[in-house]
Amino acid sequence: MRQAGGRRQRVGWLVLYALSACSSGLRVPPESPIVAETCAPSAAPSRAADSAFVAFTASGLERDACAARLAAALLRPWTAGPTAQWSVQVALTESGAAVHRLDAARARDALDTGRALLVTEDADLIAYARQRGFVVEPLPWDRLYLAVVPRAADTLAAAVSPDAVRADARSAIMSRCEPAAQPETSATVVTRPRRIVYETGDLTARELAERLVGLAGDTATAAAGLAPTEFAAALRTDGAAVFVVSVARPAGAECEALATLVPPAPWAAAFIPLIETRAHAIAPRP
Amino acid sequence: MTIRARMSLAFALAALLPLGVLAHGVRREVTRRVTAQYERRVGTLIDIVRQDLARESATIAARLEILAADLSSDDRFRLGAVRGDAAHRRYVLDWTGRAMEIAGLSMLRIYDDEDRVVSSGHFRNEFGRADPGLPARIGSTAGSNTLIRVKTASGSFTALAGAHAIHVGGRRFTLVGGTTVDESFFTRLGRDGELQVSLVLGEPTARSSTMLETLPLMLVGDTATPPQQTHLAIAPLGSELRSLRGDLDRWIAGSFLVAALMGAVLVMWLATALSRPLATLARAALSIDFTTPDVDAVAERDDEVGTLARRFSAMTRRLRTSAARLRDAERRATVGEMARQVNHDVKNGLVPIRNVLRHLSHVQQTSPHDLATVFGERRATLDSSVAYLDELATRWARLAPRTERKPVDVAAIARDAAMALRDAYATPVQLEVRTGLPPVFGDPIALRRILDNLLTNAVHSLDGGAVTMTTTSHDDVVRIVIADTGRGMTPDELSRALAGFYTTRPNGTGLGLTVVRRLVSDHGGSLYIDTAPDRGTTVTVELPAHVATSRFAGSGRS
Repeated sequence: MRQAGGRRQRVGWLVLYALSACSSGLRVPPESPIVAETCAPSAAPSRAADSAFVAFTASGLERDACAARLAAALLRPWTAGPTAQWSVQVALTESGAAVHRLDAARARDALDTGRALLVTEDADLIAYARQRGFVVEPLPWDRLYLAVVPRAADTLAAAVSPDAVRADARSAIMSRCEPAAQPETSATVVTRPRRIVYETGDLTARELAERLVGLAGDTATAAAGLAPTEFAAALRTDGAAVFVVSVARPAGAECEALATLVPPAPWAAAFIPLIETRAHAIAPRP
Repeated sequence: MTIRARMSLAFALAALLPLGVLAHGVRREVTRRVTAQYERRVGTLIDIVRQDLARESATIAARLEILAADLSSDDRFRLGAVRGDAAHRRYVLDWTGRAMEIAGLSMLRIYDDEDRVVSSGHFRNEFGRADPGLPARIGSTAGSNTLIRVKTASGSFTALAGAHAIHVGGRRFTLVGGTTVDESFFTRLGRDGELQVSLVLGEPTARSSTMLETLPLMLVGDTATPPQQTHLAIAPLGSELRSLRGDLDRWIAGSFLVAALMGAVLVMWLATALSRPLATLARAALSIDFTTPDVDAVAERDDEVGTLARRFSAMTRRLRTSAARLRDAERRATVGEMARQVNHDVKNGLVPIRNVLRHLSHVQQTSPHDLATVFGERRATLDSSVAYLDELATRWARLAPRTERKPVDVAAIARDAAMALRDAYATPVQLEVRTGLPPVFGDPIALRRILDNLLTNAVHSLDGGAVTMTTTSHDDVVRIVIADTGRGMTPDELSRALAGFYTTRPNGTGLGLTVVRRLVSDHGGSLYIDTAPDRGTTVTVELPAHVATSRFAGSGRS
């Protein structure tokens, strides 16, 4: 039984590897390198400090590939812990996948054991896995980072290059969106926001915020990290700051879809998509 | 000024003042030496600070040189930064972060030949920002300690920085790196609290008294302005010195306080030891007269005060003996005078009798039949002379005391005497009698005679005034004071009145005060007379209270 499962897993990764090889020649990265027929969570993931469980159903796709995609889509960013490159180890169970967060050293230790299924944004870890001969497959571009800006800060978020972040990133395909309900123009609107706010624990958001500060070119603008609850509260009320927000990438690239994903920010004049990121799955070579 | 005050003043002058002068001198000398030693130490520390600062700059320069050497041979940097290979761009961006941590720097940037940030370790995402002229300005301050303001994503800080230029692939790159200059840096430079190090922008306008040294620095800003003169101001915190001075002051103050307290206690003890026996002696002196026992209250002491008391007692004994002799002589003189008076009076009384008897004897011899007739004629003379002698005897009998001692209520006798006087002379006597007087062991008749004589004398001396009699008690002594506002007496009159047979009244015997004096003396009491012409007379009789019951039952006036 266990041997049959291992064989199925290796076959699944071969398919994943072949699909990624075929998709590497595309100019525009595919929405998903995996031909997903059915891969969906059967319940909301349960999360603890450094572990989580994702229950899912998959058909037409290997369970481990589905588990990697769902872990990347549902558990990224992992904002409850310290700021580090996002890396998790995925272990399949009967009903789903047990996911454990790893720091850089433990992720490499897991690779060195040779049998781990990892999902990561850490470019150095990916390079190490390639050097060790592991199968490294990019997962779909599933995270979108955008700047929620007041009217006066429209130009601030321009020209943010993917280099600003250490995750695998690309420039956002979507263009600027304006919420349907525009805030009333106030005479006291600041001309340049002094705070670029991000959610602590989201390293990519932090790097984007810092890049916005770097682009601001003055010494008055500063980046500030807020805990998740404080971040949500500030996003609702603080119209004098720019917020770097991470959402699941909308499939249709439509502003209406984006507006439903962004947490409430009644003062926002525009959503400026900055970059899209994706994780990579690392599996032992069959 | 009391003995206690004198001794306190003497102690303050003799002990506290020199002690204070000594403490002041010691404090000043110790402070001077410690301060000099501290200043030498601070001077050494400032030299060390200067060396530390130079060493810090040299260390930064050395580390930048090492990093530059490594970077110049780094192929991936060459590909990413010089050739523009996108695959190595991330390596270039992240290189400074790792290098900064390894080199132990707080900030590290790589500028290209257009003064744009190629890679930044402390603020990764400031790449691409232009700082025109900044590497050149830092390079122009070579040889001096250079500060720059460093921007980070969350704020900015000041860093002690250096620069090192390299050429890679025909392009110039400049590494700018340094360490944070913050409170911990100043604390470290200040030898962990011995010196206070702070940053002063610009030229120090006035060197404060506490500022020991300034070390010049160059502050390079982000803008294209020339480097600005900056200084590290070094001042001694002096906490150790202040602590030492405080300890010294506390010890001196404590010693002074202890000395003052001990001195005060000593002065109190000595003053009490001296003044108490003297006060006892003074109280005893008040009660000394020629009838009271010897005063030996403090004679048991074996010091000077005891000697004084013993000599004082001896003196009172000698005086008492002399007084007794004098009194005896006086008594003998009085008796002699009385004998002469009696002799004179008796002779005066006997002369007619003798004459009558001689006449009758002559009649009997010459004409016996006329004897009866002559006796009849001369009988009146005989009767008169006998009556005179009888009267004389009666008068002298008054001088013979007949005492019957028992506890006597002086207050009652005083009331009776005052009432009798008022009846006899219709003269008001103001009587103040303290209730609860202790009884006097004596003869009530004699005491009544004392009061009668004194009151009579007082009434007769009046010329429209008043007589006041007051009875009080104090220290087992019953005191009777009879004061009048009459004529008073001169000292000579008083002396003669006390001697007896001196009177200013037509019917007076001149023995009143003599009788009083004797009766008072017989009762173991004292007699004091305060008199002056036209000022009245105050006579004070002090009688010892009856010992067995001489306890005051209370006090009050009636």
